[in-house]
Amino acid sequence: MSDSSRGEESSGGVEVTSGGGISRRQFLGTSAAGVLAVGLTPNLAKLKSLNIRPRAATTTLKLISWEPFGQSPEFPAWTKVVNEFMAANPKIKVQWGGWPFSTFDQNVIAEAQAGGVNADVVMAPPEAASTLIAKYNLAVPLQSITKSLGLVPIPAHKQFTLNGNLYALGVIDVAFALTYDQRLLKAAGFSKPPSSMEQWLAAVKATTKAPSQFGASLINTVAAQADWWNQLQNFCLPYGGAWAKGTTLTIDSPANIKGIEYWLELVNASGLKGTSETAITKLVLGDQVATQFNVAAGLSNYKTLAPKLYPNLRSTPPPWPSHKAIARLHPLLVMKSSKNVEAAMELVKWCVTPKNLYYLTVTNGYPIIPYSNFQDFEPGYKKYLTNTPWLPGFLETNYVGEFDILGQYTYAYAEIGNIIATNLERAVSGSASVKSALQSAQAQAKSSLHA
Amino acid sequence: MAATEALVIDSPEAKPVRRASRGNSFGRQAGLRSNLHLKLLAPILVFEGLFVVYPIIRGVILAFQQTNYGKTSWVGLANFRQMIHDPIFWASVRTTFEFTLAMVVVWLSLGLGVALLTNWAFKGRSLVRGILAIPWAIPDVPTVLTFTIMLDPNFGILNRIASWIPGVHHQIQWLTAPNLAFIAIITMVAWKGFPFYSLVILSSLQAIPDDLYEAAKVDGAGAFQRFRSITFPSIVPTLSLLAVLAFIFSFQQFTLIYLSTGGGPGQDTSTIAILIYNQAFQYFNYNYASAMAAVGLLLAVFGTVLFVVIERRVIRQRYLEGGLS
Amino acid sequence: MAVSVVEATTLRTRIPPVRNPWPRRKRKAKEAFRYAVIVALCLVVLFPVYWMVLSTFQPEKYTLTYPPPLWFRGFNTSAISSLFSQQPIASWLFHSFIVSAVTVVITVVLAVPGAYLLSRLRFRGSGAFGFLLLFTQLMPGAMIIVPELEWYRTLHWTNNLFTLGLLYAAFNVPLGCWILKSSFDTVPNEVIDACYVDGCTQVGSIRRILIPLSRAGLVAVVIVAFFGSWNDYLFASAFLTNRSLYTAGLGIATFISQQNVQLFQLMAAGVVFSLLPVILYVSVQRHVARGLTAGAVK
Repeated sequence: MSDSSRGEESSGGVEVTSGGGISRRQFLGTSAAGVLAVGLTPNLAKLKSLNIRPRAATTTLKLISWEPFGQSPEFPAWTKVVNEFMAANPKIKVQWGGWPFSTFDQNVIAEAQAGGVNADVVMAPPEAASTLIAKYNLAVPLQSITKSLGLVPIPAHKQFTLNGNLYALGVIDVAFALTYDQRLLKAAGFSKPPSSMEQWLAAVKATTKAPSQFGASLINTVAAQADWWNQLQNFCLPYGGAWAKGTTLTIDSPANIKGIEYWLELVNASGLKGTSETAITKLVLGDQVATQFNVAAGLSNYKTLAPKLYPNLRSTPPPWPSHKAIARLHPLLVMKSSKNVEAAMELVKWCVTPKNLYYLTVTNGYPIIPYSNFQDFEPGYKKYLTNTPWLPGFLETNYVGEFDILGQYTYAYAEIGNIIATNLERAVSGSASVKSALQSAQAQAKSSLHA
Repeated sequence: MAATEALVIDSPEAKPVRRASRGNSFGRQAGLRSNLHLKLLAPILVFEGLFVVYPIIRGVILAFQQTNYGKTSWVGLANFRQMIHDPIFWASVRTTFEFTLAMVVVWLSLGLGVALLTNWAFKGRSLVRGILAIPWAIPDVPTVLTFTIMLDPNFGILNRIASWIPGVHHQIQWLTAPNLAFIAIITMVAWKGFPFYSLVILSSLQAIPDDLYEAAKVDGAGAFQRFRSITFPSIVPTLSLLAVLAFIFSFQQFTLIYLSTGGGPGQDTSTIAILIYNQAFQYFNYNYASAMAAVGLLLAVFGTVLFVVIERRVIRQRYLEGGLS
Repeated sequence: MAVSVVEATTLRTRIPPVRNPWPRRKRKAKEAFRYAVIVALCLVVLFPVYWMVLSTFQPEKYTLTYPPPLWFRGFNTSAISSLFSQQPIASWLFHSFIVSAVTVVITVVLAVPGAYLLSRLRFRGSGAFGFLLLFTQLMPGAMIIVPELEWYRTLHWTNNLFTLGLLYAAFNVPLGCWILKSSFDTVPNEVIDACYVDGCTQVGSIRRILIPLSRAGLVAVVIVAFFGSWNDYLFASAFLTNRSLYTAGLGIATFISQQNVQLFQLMAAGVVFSLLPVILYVSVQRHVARGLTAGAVK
């Protein structure tokens, strides 16, 4: 049984908990939903469409996210937290909706442009969140929530702040670090993780034994432009560069050129130049790749997806001297158009309540919590982090936000990424130098983008 | 005319060689008298008007607006002015031009070639025609997945085959190297789409009465001469319609390109359709994307009108002057 | 000559024996060459299809290896079976089928009068009508999606397979009109005049003459409309937010980004997704061939 269908069932089960007094109709509905929850047959999920649901004077909140779609091992934790919210607020019913991550932005923007997002609470990737806030003005200020909980949002929330109001609260902090397969590194004679850039490159070279084993899984095709840029943006950091400072573009700065040249050396050494993302993923899950530049969110999925790799999975901070990497905040927003703004804010508050946020973060291994005073609330947090074998490297990494490397161009995240990636692909295939590729990217970005 | 009458009895589906006039005089008069055309037109116009034309107009209106902080305001030609100074837009226009031109030529010549090749009574023709139409039935997503696997520089079968050619050693980056990516896209799109063209051409080839060929043979015309004086003129209307459709389909092509190259490297495979999608849904510049779409629409209308004019004037004239009767 | 007996007889009755410009042996050689080209072409065209099936059923340890094995090294059906057990793919396919059926029916119903207008009636604005139909095809899908979504939300028509089919039909009717027009064009005026002499009306001539004689064209319209809606992903993803209504195109597209769906499962999904249109085509294709060859001997 996949997690996606489990999702269907649990949301079927979810409806059981709502409603006040039990009418006969409700009772029937409840038992039908109960059958859904225990029956575990996907066909029964169809009953849902027959509208056998308890009807009572409840408020229904629509929560849209990519979580019900595919990032499977994460969804049960979210369902649990939301179900507990409904148990604590019997008058409120929460309905999950949304799209898979890859098409989430497209669909949420289509809805915003067509007159408003059809939801009460939205979980969004950072760029879509700031677009909903700044361009469409669809969000409700949420600083009252953090104030009442006493949480201090980390500075990356700047992206969601407008005119002194904070419109989105981070729940998932997608943070990068260098992860590796200690078995493959050991077999190649590396008993310790790479701690310098030279060592990483040497390890990639030594562990690449094409066509069965590869040194690094760096995405390098425009076909996977979103994920490529997601990784690649980090590589302005090795020599202390940035893609833009404030409103000034610095794509072709010497530090960036050196950083990307290093990245290209890694790609060339990895043996996976030009290979599609799906193929790279398969190799990673098949325990055929030694090092990855990866986000922590999702690694806990490897327990089931990559049982051979998981026991040997370890992390270390990026091997450049600053140990800097990007952390990207995925927040929750409340839509202005909601008929139940208060209930929606209650739900968001519930999700960022330290106990629940801690549960989500630990269960799904995100593992960074985007509130700087969080350890005051959950002393177990630090312990958890150090006790999970693949987490310590993430803790030693120095995280910077998008504003630190993209300045005002954070609002044009995907576009600047596309400009850099499409130009850099020429350098990857060997028909241009990194320098000329970044120079033409700089020129293009200058005339196409307006910060 | 005698030949035509014979055909009527013999083979009702065959088309008269010279399509004398569209619609006979009776139908024409009756149509005007009874307003039948209005009754037939109304449902289509209402349906298309509501579901396609009205949304298109709405889309064009967005090109003259800008949304900021939840407020939509009229900005006149500002989006278009920005476009004029956008090198990426111009690169995409160029790519679109090259791509559509290439596809019209490749699709029509492949379609014609395959149709001619299979237009004779041979054993197993039904099977062959079926096989040659399969790519058309395979949806876009599986097509891209398969081609991506086949063209993979490290694991793909194509590089395996290339390695048998003496002198080829390195792993060829089919989908990411300049020029190669464009060719790879053309090949994939051609593979997926050519059956439509060959089937339509084949069906119009079959409508040409045999008697014409036999008569030409009696007159001692060679194969090429027969093609030039009988086959080609007979299928010109079909070819010109297919050219318009090929232009439209390649102009609209999105999924195959987006999932295989994403428009790269550089703007090599980034057609207007790709750029518009990116601007609207990846970069969140919906109004700017609308402006690009409006210009794209204008270019496409221009291209289509050009084809229609060619079909109506030049080709029909030549085809009538060809004096086939 | 490789012609069936019936066809050969027809040929002989229809064609007076003429002097043959080609010596017999030369013609044989030419035919053999033609066969060879056809076989080679079929192999090239089928190769990606073969590769798709191979990648689906090849045991996992042989995928993503180099050199890639050219033949099956075993037959692994776990991709297909895990796909069906993990994803509601059967209901996705069913939904796709419903949407496509709606599309096909509406397209055919509206394409017949449209094609008649284009092919047989001259009226003021007929040229504009023909162009208008092409015009509907010119706006990039990505652009039209937001106005459509706006429209559908006002009508409360989102999350509805029938209204989605309606939308696909709107995109396919114009194409259908043009395809069917070229079929209608091939019907000689004399046949229709004969029908009028027998006392039938114009509408009657459509029903009794044009439609039966344009079967092949109708089948082409059906196929184009079916493939068009079967293939779509862009509109489905905006209009169907309720997962229990997902179509196969939408469902499978969601796989691509999923970490827990493996490459071979993705390929399996592709094969399953392609199966129905291929079957549909192959079964109708005979009909097309019959329709096309009913009169002419080819």
